[in-house]
Amino acid sequence: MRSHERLVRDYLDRLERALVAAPRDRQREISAEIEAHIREEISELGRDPRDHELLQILDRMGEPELIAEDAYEGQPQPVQPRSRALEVFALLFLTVGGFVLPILGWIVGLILLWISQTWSTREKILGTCIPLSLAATFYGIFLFSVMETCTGGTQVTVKPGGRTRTITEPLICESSGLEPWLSSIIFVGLVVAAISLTFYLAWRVAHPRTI
Amino acid sequence: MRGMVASGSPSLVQLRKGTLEYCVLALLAEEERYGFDLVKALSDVDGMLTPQGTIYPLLARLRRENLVSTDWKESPSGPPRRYYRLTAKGRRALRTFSEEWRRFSNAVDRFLERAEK
Repeated sequence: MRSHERLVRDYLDRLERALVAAPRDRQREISAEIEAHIREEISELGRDPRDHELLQILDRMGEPELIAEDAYEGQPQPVQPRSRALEVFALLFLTVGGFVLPILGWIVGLILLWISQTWSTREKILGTCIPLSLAATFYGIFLFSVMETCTGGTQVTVKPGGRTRTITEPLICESSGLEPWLSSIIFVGLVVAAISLTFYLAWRVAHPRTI
Repeated sequence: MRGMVASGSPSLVQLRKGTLEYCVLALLAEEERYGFDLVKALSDVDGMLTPQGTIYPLLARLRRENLVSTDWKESPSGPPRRYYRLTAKGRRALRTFSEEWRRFSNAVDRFLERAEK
């Protein structure tokens, strides 16, 4: 049952994206009517649809891109697409937001990310990894640099043959975490991942998926 | 590839496209209907409405051009349905098309009959 809801939702998401350049009220009207039609066709079966029946219903409804073509009739060019300000702010907060306003900035970024209509759920999950990687990197570096154990540094009194000498043992401090070279690789990797994901999401804003 | 492509010669495809809206108006002249209902009626004719979903942009356009108006009504099977009905302007457009179509299809018929002889 849940996979059917998934199929319908995926179809409707495709439709929404294909209609992205149409006026918003027209988008909503068409999407709402198509969703109502699909659900009514399903309920006419009188029981839960089998996978192939659901696929057939969606097939008969047609490729969202084809349907959307008709929605643009009467417009020589697509109407100006919706403002992407939300997405721009989301990406800003997800990256530098956490440094301007520690933690809180990232939380704001995550909220904006998830309420956006532009990104798919999969893309939102990837986006959630951005502040996680950045947080892991910078708090990780901080942690590793203070996690040290030091031995020595004490003063020892030695009496070789009667004479008293005070020797100070050298202080040896070691990082008790990973080898420095390994942690550097990990941190660099996390930062690269965060930057790549940011660019990927930005690219998706400019090129809405039509498949 | 999913989805159906309208079958028939290119001119037949064009013809269907051009007359579809008047077929919708004609169906609404009988009684007001909701989307799914219109789709079922049109699907009786092979290839008239492919793919089915394209009726919804059409209905949105007819509403925009004030040829149809809509109304929400209770439905026995769940959420309210949007019902479509003809406006006065829609009726006039249908009448005009009806006359033009009759003249045109008669003329085409005559040419075709001559070729069959």
